Amino acid sequence: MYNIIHLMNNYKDTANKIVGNLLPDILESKSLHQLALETKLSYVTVHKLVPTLIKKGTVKVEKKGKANLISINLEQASVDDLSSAMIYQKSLILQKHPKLILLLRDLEEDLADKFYTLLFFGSKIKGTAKSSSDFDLFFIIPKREELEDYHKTINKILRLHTIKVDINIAAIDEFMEMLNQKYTVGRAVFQKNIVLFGTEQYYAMVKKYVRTSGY
Amino acid sequence: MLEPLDIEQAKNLFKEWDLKHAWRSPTPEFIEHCKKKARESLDLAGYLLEKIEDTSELENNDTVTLWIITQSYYSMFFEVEYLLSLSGKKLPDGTKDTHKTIYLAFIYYYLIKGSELEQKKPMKITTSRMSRALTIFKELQDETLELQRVAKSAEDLKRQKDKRHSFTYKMSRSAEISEAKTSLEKAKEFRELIEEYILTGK
Repeated sequence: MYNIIHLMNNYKDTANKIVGNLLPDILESKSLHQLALETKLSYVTVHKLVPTLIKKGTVKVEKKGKANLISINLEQASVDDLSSAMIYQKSLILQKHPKLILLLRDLEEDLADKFYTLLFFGSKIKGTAKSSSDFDLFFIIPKREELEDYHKTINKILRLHTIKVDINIAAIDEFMEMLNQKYTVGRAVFQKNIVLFGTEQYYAMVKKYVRTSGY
Repeated sequence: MLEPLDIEQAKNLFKEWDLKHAWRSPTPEFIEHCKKKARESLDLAGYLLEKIEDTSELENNDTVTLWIITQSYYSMFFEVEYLLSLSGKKLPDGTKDTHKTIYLAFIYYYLIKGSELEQKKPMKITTSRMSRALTIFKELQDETLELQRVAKSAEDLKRQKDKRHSFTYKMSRSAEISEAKTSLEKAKEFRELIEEYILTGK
């Protein structure tokens, strides 16, 4: 019994590594070799596990020349699987930014009675940041009318911290509108992000967008 | 930087306290109280600074910068109390000079105990997160306590005037604000250093 549980956990961890590696660049695809390299898993492990993930509908494969390119299957992947992988990926990113962990903790405490999704994007996760670069955060909130309230609370929290943060806040409908336009901050966030809070809500939103508008 | 005298004093005092089990056990409410006070003091300092920078409401208020410095320091003081309380330490009731005691406890439990400083002669340590936190704490504590001492000294008006003069009145308003800003930034950095320490355990 113990062995089965251990094997299942092992499978889940490895699956989270692979899916978590693909998730920040949600529209990009990667070869098996690239996935193995970036996740530090052996090529054999990736080669064995990806067919299971394809069967499950979490990822899809596309043939380009001789290479098999893997990407997230947004139509079929379950919100649970995507969330679990993103939470794993988030923990990797946060290890590099302890000050951001402290800010998140304060945000979680003060916004505990509110519904929101928080995304981390920009140069810090693209790997192009300078030491002086800001942390780019994007809040998705339920209604436009609450914008002022969120701004107030968030600015109050930021007063307690030394890290430089650039805050963007948009209501769900505004974010959805942004996704339909090419050069908007919302679209840029969608293309490369780490979900810091509200993972399930975010992927449910993304799946809805893909269902109704395509990519 | 650690003063040799402080190291000796801290070692003597807390070795004795540990032997006598002099520390009180903090309640969960006390721990939460310290955490809350540390944050609220910092929040108030930030709020006041924002007010004097962005509005003219407090333009003629000469004590507001003093308040910012004091609140910044108190935020650090409560943060150290919070840190100590997390490891089961609360100052016994009636402790004399709580500010000095908290400072000494901080250097003893987080810099001296278990390090080379416990055995050897005092030396300068400058690399760890906690030694940076200590430097910030000491600087702001000295400044704040001196300001408070002077403010309370109603008997010697001349002394009060001269001292306060050297701290604040001599300065232009913008220099005062800059001083307050520096204190607040130090307190923020201190909170982050301590919270990171709590988070990572190192």
